[in-house]
Amino acid sequence: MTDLLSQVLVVGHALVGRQDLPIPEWLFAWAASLVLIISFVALTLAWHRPRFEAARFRPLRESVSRALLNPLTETLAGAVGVFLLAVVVWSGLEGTEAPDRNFTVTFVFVTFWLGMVVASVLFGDAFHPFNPWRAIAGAVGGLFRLVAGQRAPAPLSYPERWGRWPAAGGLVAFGWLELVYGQAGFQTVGLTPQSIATATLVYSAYTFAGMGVFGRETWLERGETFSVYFGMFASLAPLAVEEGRLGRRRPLSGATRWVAGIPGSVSLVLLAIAITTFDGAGEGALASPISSLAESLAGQTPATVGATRIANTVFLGLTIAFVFALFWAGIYGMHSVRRGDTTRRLGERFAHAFIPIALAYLVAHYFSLVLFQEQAQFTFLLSDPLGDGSDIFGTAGGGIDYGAISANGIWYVQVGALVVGHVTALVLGHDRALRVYGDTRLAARSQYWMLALMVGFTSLGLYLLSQANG
Amino acid sequence: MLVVAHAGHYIWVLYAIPVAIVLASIVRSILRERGKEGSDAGHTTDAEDRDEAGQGQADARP
Repeated sequence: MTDLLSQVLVVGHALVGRQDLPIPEWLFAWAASLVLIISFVALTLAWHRPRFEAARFRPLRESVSRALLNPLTETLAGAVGVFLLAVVVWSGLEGTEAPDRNFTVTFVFVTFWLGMVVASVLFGDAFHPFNPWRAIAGAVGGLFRLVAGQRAPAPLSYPERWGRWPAAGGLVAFGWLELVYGQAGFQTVGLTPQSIATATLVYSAYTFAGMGVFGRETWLERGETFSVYFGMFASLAPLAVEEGRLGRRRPLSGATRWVAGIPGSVSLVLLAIAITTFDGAGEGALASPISSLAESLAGQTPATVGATRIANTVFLGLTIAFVFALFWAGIYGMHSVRRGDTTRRLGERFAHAFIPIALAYLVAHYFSLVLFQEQAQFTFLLSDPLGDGSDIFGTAGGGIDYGAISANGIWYVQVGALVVGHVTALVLGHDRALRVYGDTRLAARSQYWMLALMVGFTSLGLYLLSQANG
Repeated sequence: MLVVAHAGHYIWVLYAIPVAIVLASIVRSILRERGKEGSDAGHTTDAEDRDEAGQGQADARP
């Protein structure tokens, strides 16, 4: 994403190089690893029974639930979602081709893609009521009921073995669109507001087809990429809706039931990590190998856009394979502690612990992008969505204050996010191990491998950030 | 001079060191625990052997 935006936004992860850090960047990786090791020892010594496995859902007062969850608020939220979808398509097709002056690019890749993750972690499944495809399908279904006097039945039942695989496929497609197709190479920006609007229309048609064939809620729960992706992060939230009631639950506890043996769930978690990893690596550690491969494929310097896209596709695939291999190697190590479960089953049992890592990677990689681009979103892009000089809300003259946070400040946020995310993952892993193995000693032994994975992912994340920001 | 000029390419090694230390500690710890379990099992077998031998002697008594 930042490859696409950096051409016009001048902001990748930081605007200027860091200065005067008290210790070298690599030493932060050592310190973070030490924090993880100490956390691991503390968990082993002091955490003897699972605390996140029970739901402990406590409904809020009936009046609060009714005030927030009723047909009127559902209709209003749906209308807001449909309106924003329409603005994305309209400004994409009708607005300026300059990505930095067009509402669509920043809204889709920053406000929606990243902002909705933050909203989901804080407030639960925030995307559900605002989902424009759900709202439109609901309106069409309501109209059908009115005319035909009965509900429209789903023609086909959803194959259980598909699980969340359609959503995982959609996530790869979205990642490919922004990081590979949108890769500018040295010649041109591949992903214009117009192509984003077209992709939005294509995805809308695909989603309506999925809902039409398998039923609205079934497709949203399993196949609709954004619902499933944001839902994964919402499982960490302290708020949830159960049986129509809004309520509180222990933060993180929802994650313990998210995978639930549904096919494709483990891959979805890992893909979320891998796509962010590739975005970070593409700017630093992998930048040189990618351009070398692209140039050798094109037989010229600079490489053609087509060759650059092929090279990026290859390295995106390799990054996904690397993250999957790292995860399954760790799980295989855990399997050696006790051979009761298959490695695959163990992977399903522990994959939820990696959701906080996916979140940590997102925060670490995109924190500064969100901080700077949201200033644009809520000033000139809001007042002048087409970039044609209009000033609807009188904020078209606003700009981005790149001094809002220093480069060192960004680095500290990145390090903090990675450490907190991985310690949280260790806690969830240890908690699940107590449930799986029953015995504290066996649980601790199984988590040696989880510790290795956490240290590995932390060091990898910090290395990629240091290379991208350096 | 050439080595120093390319030192930046090997900075990842510094990030890999904590991973290597943790992995080495895990392998060492697992080997030690397996060794301990093996020797415990060996002791148990010896004890069982002694019990069986004792039982045999007891049975052989008139």
